Amino acid sequence: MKNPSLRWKISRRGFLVGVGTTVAVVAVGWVAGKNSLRLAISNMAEGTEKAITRGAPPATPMQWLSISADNILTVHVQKIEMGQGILTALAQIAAEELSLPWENVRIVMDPTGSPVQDPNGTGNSESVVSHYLPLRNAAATLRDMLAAAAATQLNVPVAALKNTPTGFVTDSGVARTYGAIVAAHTAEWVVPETAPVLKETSAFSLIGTSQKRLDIPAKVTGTAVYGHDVRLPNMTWGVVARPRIIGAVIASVDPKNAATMPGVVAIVNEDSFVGVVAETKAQAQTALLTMDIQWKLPDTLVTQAAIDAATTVDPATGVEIQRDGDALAALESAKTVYTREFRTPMAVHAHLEPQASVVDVRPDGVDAWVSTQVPAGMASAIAEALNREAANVTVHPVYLGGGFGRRLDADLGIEAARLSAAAQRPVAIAWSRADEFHNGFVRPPTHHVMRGSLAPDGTIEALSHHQASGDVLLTIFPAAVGTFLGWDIGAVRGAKWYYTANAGRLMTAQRVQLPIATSFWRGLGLLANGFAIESFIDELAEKAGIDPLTFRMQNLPDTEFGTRMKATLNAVSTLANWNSGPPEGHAYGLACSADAGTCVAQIADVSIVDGAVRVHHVYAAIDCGLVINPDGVVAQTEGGIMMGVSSTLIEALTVVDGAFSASNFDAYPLLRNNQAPDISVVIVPSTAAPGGMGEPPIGPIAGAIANAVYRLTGSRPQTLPIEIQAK
Amino acid sequence: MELSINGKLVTIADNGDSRPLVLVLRDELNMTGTKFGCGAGICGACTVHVDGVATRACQTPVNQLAGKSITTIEGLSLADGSLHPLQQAFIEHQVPQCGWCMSGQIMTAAALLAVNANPSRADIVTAMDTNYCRCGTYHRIRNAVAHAASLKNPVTE
Ligand code: FES
Ligand code: FES
Repeated sequence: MKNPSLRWKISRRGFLVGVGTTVAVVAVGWVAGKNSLRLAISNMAEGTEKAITRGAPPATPMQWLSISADNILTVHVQKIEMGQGILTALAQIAAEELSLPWENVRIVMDPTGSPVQDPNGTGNSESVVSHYLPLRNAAATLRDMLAAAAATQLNVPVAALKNTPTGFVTDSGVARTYGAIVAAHTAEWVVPETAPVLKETSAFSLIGTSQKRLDIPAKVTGTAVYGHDVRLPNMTWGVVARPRIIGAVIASVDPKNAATMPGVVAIVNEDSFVGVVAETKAQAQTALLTMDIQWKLPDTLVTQAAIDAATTVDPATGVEIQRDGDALAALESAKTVYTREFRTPMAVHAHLEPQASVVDVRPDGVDAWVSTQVPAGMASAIAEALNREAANVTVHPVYLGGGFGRRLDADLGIEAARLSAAAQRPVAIAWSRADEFHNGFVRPPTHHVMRGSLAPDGTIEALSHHQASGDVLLTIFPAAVGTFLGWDIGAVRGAKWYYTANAGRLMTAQRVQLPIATSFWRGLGLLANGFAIESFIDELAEKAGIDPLTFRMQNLPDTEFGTRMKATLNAVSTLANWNSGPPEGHAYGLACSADAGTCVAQIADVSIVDGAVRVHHVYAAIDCGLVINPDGVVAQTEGGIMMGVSSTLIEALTVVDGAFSASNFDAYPLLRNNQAPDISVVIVPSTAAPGGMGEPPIGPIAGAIANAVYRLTGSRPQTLPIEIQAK
Repeated sequence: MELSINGKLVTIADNGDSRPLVLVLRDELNMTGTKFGCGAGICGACTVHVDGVATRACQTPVNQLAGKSITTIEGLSLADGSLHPLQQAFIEHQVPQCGWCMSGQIMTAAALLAVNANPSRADIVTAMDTNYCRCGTYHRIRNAVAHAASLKNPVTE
């Protein structure tokens, strides 16, 4: 049943998504470009050549761009669509330089092993940021190559050709479509040495328009295929023994008669990994339940009290992440120091599609369909576990039923690969909701201590933010990296002060190593840091006796970032009619934040209904630089806001009796339709480069709601989810 | 045993058991348009129609379905193959993000419109309150359902 030559690796691991741009917030500038640009252009140069050589292998898409004889442009990427509209945005970018009508554009998620190498995976709100120029360059180069070919075919100089939406036309009116040029081309394609001339942004016809999402028709007819939906001929079902108690490991296994039970195909029991493969899911589960598995519990059970105690700021141990001037000295000598603490709880991703993997391990190769944001990383993880070459493993992208940072786990594919190797048949592992709650990873808890002082003119004198957070990114690095750095890049997303302070600003990050699996969650530290900073700034505004909008305006810098943020704040105040205020009995709360090159400002319209916080409407203004698809920007803004409202009002995971407190949504409910606000979004015109969209809108929402709640109750919410205290 | 699914009789193994409809649809019949989110009757991702009523397939044992008529998202399109007004409206309003909840949302809304052709805003919210959308498309859902109702009932002047 088991192949002893296989070397299993099953420690918890994950993938890193594009960490290089994590620090590229507006204030720092746009740094994503150079390397990925070079890489993409070299990919493009190889790829385009194959793309339009008619002898390219037909069954395997091998490049970024291809044009067929019927003038259909197909864009090949390895970015994963999980609802963020990325495929549509990338297709728009690619088609722009060719001026093709939208009906002629297709896009596919390519499997690993195709020349579309994308080791970074999808996440970090960076797909558009990293692809915007490379894709345009690729398409413009392709256009120039087609022009050269058309000139040869029509025997005219290139200068005599005019580009039309479908191809080229000569001075004398002879037209050729791109597809016809490709079909008639017999010579070698030559990639030009010189960089192509890109369109002026004023000439864009696709970029900046709300094209309809390419993936939506399949999603309203039930035909889109997700990881949970993959069905192969001869497929079997696998289940894996998973602990309920945090930190428990398998101590002993008596398989009893599981191997001879109906439908059982294979049993794997080695290195503390126990799994059953059977013809049906139920048969596999029954067999697993028959086995007598003893778990070795950790010496001390994890407790919520221990997690809270560990996640507590100790100003002496934090690492300085931001320091200008001498905030501590200024606070020391200030007449009045304002201080406030905030806490955010653990939370789960609750992507509605539990993760799943289908892996087919054969002697000649491995095919895997896995709910992953990182196909290339998954391919190498499976290859390593099977002791095979990475090229031997093909990971086929699937739609993801929500990602939010959860689909970065390598174990998912490795488990199915181990079971398939034993069963010698394709094996599907479909996680249950209980698996997700108990055996996934969670957003780490945070604690924030904020201090500030004011100058007599209402400007901020000094600011300090001490943060303690469970690990976000460090959990996937070798331990030495964490020891060396001492702080977590992910936890401090949005943690630095973007407001000015006359005498100084300080931000310190304190790494908390918890006995629970913590990692990425939409925006990483952004929601927690936004809650703390924007609540505290609102408090300072109140202490200064200044309107919260005016106070923010006068304490934002006169930099490019500050100017963008002020324009965003102005836009949201107009949208919500800030000056006339909310309906009778409601309160407005304002907050803003910046992340991934994008500025967001939000106003929450809130009241208290039956003792609970009710968010009626959220107004949002967003400057995400150059916009690819306005309706896509609006949709991501809405999605971030709704997820943030859910976190702010409802969600908290705790530890009870050594295990997570919820196994399903009865104990961890999500926001429902009748709790969901209406949302209005305005996009602020911007000349900045494209910024991220998947995460930034979640930044201000907790602060906006908390600030409205303060106005209603007189008590400032300091923990999430917000609970009302009587006035 | 036989089940009537989308107007066709389908034979499934009669194990005398009460395995849930969602499992039979997805794992035995490979009809994966009906989704699975919680298996506990909470999220609504598995919503289908049983005799026209929105029903959670994860909470419905197949041995209770003899003689009943089951409709799934795969059977929602109109007889001529064109999209149901709700499917059109969900495209028009660009509702889905990840899309995993959408079969359930649309089936829940279709059952509402079948009995209430002119739902008020409150009717829509009450009916749709049974279905989670983690991507947060709730207010687009409300708008699209209202729009679909107007498609089904062209306003006459
Ligand atoms: S899967 Fe049936 S209600 Fe969630
Ligand atoms: S669209 Fe993703 S859960 Fe609704």
